[in-house]
Amino acid sequence: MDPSRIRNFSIIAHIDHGKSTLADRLLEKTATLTHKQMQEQVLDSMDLERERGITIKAHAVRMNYQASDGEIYQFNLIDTPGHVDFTYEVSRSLAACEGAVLVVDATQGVEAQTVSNLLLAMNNDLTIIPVLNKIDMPAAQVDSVKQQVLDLLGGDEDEIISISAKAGMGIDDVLEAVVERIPPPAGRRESPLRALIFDSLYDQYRGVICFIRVVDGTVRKGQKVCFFSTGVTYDVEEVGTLVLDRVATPELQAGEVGYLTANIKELDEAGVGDTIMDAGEQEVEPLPGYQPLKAMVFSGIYPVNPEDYEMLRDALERLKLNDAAFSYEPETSPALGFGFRCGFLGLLHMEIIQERLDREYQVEIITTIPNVRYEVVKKTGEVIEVENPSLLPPTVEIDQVREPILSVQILVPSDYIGAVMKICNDRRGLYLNTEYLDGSRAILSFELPLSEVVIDFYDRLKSSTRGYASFDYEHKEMRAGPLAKLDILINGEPLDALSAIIHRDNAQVWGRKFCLKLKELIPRQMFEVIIQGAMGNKIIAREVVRPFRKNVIAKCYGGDITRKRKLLEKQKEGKRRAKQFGKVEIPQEAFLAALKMED
Amino acid sequence: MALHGLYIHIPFCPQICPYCAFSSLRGVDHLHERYVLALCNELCARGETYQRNPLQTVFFGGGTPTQIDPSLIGQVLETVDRVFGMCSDVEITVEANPGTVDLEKFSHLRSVGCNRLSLGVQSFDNYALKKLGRVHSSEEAIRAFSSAREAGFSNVSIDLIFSVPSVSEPAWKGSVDRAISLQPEHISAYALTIEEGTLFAKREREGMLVVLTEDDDAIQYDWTRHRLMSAGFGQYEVSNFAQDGRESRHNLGYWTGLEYLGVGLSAHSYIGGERFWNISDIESYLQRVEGKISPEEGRERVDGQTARRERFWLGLRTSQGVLLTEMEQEILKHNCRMASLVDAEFLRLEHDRVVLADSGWCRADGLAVELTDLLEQKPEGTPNVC
Repeated sequence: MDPSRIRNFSIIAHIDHGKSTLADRLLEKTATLTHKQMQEQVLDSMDLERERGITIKAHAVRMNYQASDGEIYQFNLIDTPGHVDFTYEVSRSLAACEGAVLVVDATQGVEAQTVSNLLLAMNNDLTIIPVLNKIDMPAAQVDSVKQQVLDLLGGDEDEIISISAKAGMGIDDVLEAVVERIPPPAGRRESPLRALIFDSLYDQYRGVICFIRVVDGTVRKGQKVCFFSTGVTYDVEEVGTLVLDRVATPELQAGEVGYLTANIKELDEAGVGDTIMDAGEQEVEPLPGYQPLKAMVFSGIYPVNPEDYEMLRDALERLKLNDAAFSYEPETSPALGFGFRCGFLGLLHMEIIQERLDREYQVEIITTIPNVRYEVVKKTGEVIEVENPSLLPPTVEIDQVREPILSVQILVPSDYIGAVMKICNDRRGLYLNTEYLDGSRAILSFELPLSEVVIDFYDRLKSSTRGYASFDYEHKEMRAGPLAKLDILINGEPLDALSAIIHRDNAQVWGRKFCLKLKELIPRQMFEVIIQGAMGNKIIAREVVRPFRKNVIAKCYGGDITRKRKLLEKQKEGKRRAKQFGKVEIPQEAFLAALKMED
Repeated sequence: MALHGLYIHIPFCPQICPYCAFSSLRGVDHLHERYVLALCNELCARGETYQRNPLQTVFFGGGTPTQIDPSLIGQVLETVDRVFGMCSDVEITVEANPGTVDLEKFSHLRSVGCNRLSLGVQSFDNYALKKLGRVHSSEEAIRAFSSAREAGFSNVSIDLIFSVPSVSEPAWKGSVDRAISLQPEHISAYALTIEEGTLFAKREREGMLVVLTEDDDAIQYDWTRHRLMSAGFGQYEVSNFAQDGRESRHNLGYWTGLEYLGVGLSAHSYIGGERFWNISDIESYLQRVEGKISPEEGRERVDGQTARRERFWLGLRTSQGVLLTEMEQEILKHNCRMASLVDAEFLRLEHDRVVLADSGWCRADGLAVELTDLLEQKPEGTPNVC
């Protein structure tokens, strides 16, 4: 294919603004899919994605489009995740494109996520095609949302395409705009090979499958290639294009998007962002890669049954193969035994991993309270990183504890500014400024400790602004604060997995609320459960779960054993996800108690 | 295994008690003969399917078996004898409501072969009886007891219900003492349980009925256990107490995994590793049996794990406890959770058995679940801190 007829682009949008629906329509219009193959939102191929209505992993698909100029164009649509947790994946998708279709919901207007993704696209020098979706909805505010888009992008009102992806209106205009406005890829076919790995996944039969964008040169079956960062050489086993399924082709040329397999055994060997080049080629400059990904949120994942440890490790390993953003390393907890400390992009990412472990791998797990990474400066001057609160050194050894601070932008209708202020104040936020987008909407800027955002912030923000607020964040710095560890003792023994690092000023109140929540979540059992919150040696809260006084049914009706059995099976089921701790049992929910606390 | 017991359900009642979740019917007394005929037909049909061996126990439960004419009971027993046969020392129990009996009826029941009575007294306190919606008074219950004796019943059980809302503790204690003073061979003391589908359940939902707290319920239970034991009644099951040798052989069969057949409305059976049960609608039951169709509603196979759970969940209810395999003995002997349960005087390990200790009786279900839970953990999977 002549590079001048190739268009590589993404669709970027805030969650629920209709990105996947638009993708479906593009596939339909270009006859990439027959109607029979058409499934709602085909790009979201994982069950979980379809259920949650969000795209988690980036995928790519090729379409052939006959434009109004009579020529056939090759479109490579690279899908991007839409949730705030997945900013990183957006950025790496964008690096494989020359343009982006920016979808804005005409009933919702520009949201924080729209802005941040747009900035990412602009940083990648992409051509932006603004599209206003859902214009057929009664609540659509076409004119004012157009104005919002113009305020952001500048340019001419005529450049904004009005569509309804659901009803199939305006799709041709989008396709034509992709041809007309997005520049063709600029690579040189005759140059030595340079291809960017923008995603990869592990296939149990084929090994690692690299999704690549060929920037210069050509890659074909049988070619010897070298991966820049590892220096390892491979024989290319297969290359091909992505038309929903993988379709093998003899070669991929500069400007094309497709996949490559080369008997690569470990995903680590094919790092996302790496450059693939000709083996033996010394002179080639690698492509600008990606910033190494940093997990923001950490939690312990332990098997409920210790003998499932190996199974859990295998499952995590396989998840990691498909998810560069996810990290894990072994850790041991006196209470929970052998498990893993896992790093996530955010809470949603954590929930998704948890659910995938449960559904796809059927491992019963205990997840501990998510926390952030702290930097501890010891009196000796040594600086250590603490990802697990129970490993915070004793107070006497600590000079200072630093925590990650985010700069946060919250876009909200003016009516809710007060509500947002309150939430951020309650969470140790530092207010910076307010910027009015138009008369009715404002962007509020804050500095907030990540630890306060990790837990429940997004839900609370949404609920107290009736869903109108949207927010975006980036890491700002590590900052010292009066932070200390709260330990939870169960019947006098510390349960390390329940330790939390909290702000001293809130310690009393928080500790009491936490113990009370634990009391609600720990069911009555054979033995008394005494829950204590302690800062150092000082007990600051105490709650008691009283033991069963009577737990026996009086009568088994006329030999109806099945009824009694069902009652006891229910009791037994309750123990399934509980962890034995001394004489008592702590259910999984208790380990996540901090997520369920009311403000 | 041989069939041990036979349960025969008689659903007819003079009045529906607000706490009762059994199949019971009022105002259909014209169906007595037709129903008994159906029972006999079901017995014959079952007899063709299952091994016919002389039975150890026969139990007429209800409903109110004394609501129907004793000759009908006799008719059923004749069929039982013809189809299965009965051992020479067979225990034949009839549940009797003190409001539906007199000397003549008792004598008649004796003459057709019944040799054990389970008298549904529930309380000797008239306020409590009213609360429980019973048709009889305390005085009638006492008269019924002496009539039974007069008719020649030498094995009589008295049923009592405690933890009845708004009934005072002294009133309950008085009931127990009155029961003891009558010198029955057997006393069942059941905690009132609010069952789905009963009037009590509805009243509770509406906030009209406030049940006792777990603590108060436990206090009444523990007091009752100790009082009955000091009066010479041995506790051989969670709710059952008997003078030596007078335990209900029929009910013990349920707890110890013996096979039983149940006939009649909503009756349950356990035969050949399968549990099955009959439909609970009287019209459908009659039509099916009369049309020579099985009245069975459902059936399940008890698999290995379920059988083991049942062995513990039922067996632990009895004073004999659960007979352990050697492997189970080994696991329990070295398990830390088990050690804490023994320390707390909830359970006792007696070489090849695990039995309830004194503080265990009121927690028997929870303990049974604990036991199966810890036995079902794979051996290496118990990182218990001792």
